[in-house]
Amino acid sequence: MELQQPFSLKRFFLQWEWMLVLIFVAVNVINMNLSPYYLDAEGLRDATMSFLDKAFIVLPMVFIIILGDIDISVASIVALASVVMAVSFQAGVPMAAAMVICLLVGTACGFVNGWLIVRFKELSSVIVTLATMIIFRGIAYIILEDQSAGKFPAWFKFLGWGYIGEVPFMLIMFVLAVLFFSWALHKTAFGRRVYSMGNNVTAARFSGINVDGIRILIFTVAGLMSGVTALFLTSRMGSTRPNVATGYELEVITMVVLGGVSTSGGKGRMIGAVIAVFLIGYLRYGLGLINIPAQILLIVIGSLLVAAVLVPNFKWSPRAR
Amino acid sequence: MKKILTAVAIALAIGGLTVAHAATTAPSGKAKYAIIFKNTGNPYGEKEMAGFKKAADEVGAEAILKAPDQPTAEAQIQMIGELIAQKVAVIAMVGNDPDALEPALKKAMKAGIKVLSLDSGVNPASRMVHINQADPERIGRVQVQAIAEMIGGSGEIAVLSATSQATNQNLWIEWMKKELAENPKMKNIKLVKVAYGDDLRDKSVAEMEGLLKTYPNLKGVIAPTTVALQPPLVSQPRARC
Repeated sequence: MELQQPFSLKRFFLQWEWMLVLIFVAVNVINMNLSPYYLDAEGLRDATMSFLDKAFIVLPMVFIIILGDIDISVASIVALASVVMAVSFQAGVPMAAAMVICLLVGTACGFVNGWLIVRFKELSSVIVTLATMIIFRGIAYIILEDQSAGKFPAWFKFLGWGYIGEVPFMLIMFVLAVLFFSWALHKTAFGRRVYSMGNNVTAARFSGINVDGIRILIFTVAGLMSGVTALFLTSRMGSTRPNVATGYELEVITMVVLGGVSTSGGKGRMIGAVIAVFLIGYLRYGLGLINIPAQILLIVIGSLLVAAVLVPNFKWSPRAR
Repeated sequence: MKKILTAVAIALAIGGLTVAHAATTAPSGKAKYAIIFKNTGNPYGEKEMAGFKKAADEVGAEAILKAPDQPTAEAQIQMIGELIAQKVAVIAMVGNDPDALEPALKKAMKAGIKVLSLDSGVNPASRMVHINQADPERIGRVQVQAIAEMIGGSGEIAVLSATSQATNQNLWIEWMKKELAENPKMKNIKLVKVAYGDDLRDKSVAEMEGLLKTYPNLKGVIAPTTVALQPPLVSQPRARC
């Protein structure tokens, strides 16, 4: 829990989030210089839609990492939820109901994660979600084998490709989700309990906080948001297979860590992760515009992550304060 | 304060690296012809892209060669978006999925880009022309005839393909099945399984081992894709094209 300190302009600008804004601006300036096509409202808007699907998982992942936990099963939950939705739609379930099923499957998977982690305290969340990561994707493979399923109704495309006015529908939903999750983390007693659990879970338990309940709830919400990602991703693809969303868990965790959320728990803010989503998204897009090979792109993002882990160690030393 | 400057320096250094790289890829006034292949590290794809570049050079256009690191449609959708923004003249598409690229490619055509598919095609609504480098019917039929000869006319066979959405391979497999059903010489040959190795070496090897374990009487495998040319599979019983 952060101590109440008098407001200081200097400290306000010394936050990691400002550093991210700076890097974000730098990335954009560099991209503009690299490619004459970068600064194009329509191109930028449409590029946003290609990385926003996974951004929905970033929001609950911030909570999980603040708790000092991690969830690497989210991509498998996306695949399973997406596959179950497609299969139930093909079995004659109306599309709207299939979408609800998709969200329910995600939520159920998340609950299983949370329950296992709370029930078997000797196992770390990495181990538990590593196991469920394999199990969930395994189930997806059993259901659909190596086939793809799709042929969704035309209106389902709207989720991933539609606009309201000139704004992508996905972006609007993301902004609403960001507002809700920031509110829950920063403006409620629940959010403060999450921070206190991240700092010292034993102390939190003895202060009367229902630590197990909160953990289960947060992992369940992560499952639900993976279901949301499954909806958007499937809509963009128009069909699904058991191997969709491969590697999403690492991209999501990269965004959260770059956003200044400490993997040792208790530190970090929602806005940082949200800036990081756009930072990585536009960086990828900009480098894609100058047709940099996929592998070099991974190296650039890796370097950025190393910098993100190093820089706060410089900044949060007592002298810098 | 000094430390913050260090941090800024690190950030700028990363930026500097990317600028240095970009200097070698400055845009020119030439028309841009782009090709998107299925994935990187695919020997067949490298050849196809090299040929594309040569042909583009001959007509005086700038070739853009793109391939995602994973053979997925979602990565290709992102690349199509990047090419639309670069205002290329042509997108030549080797699709990872016949239908999933439709919204993205339609958008490209709307932006005035000529879209064609080759090798692994996309559905007709997503492109203007499709160029088939080989006759699917002959490929399918001849591969079955070849394996029939190799296994002596009877026994169980399997197919080890690329991805389950690869249009070209799926079409060839359709013709293999037709040949098996229609040709009376093939009546003793049974296709027991079509497996998909996604053109990834480790997955293909695992699928191949799975086939050998599940079907101990397996006499031959048709692998109508690039992994059949790569070492790990060459030690296995196979027929390749």
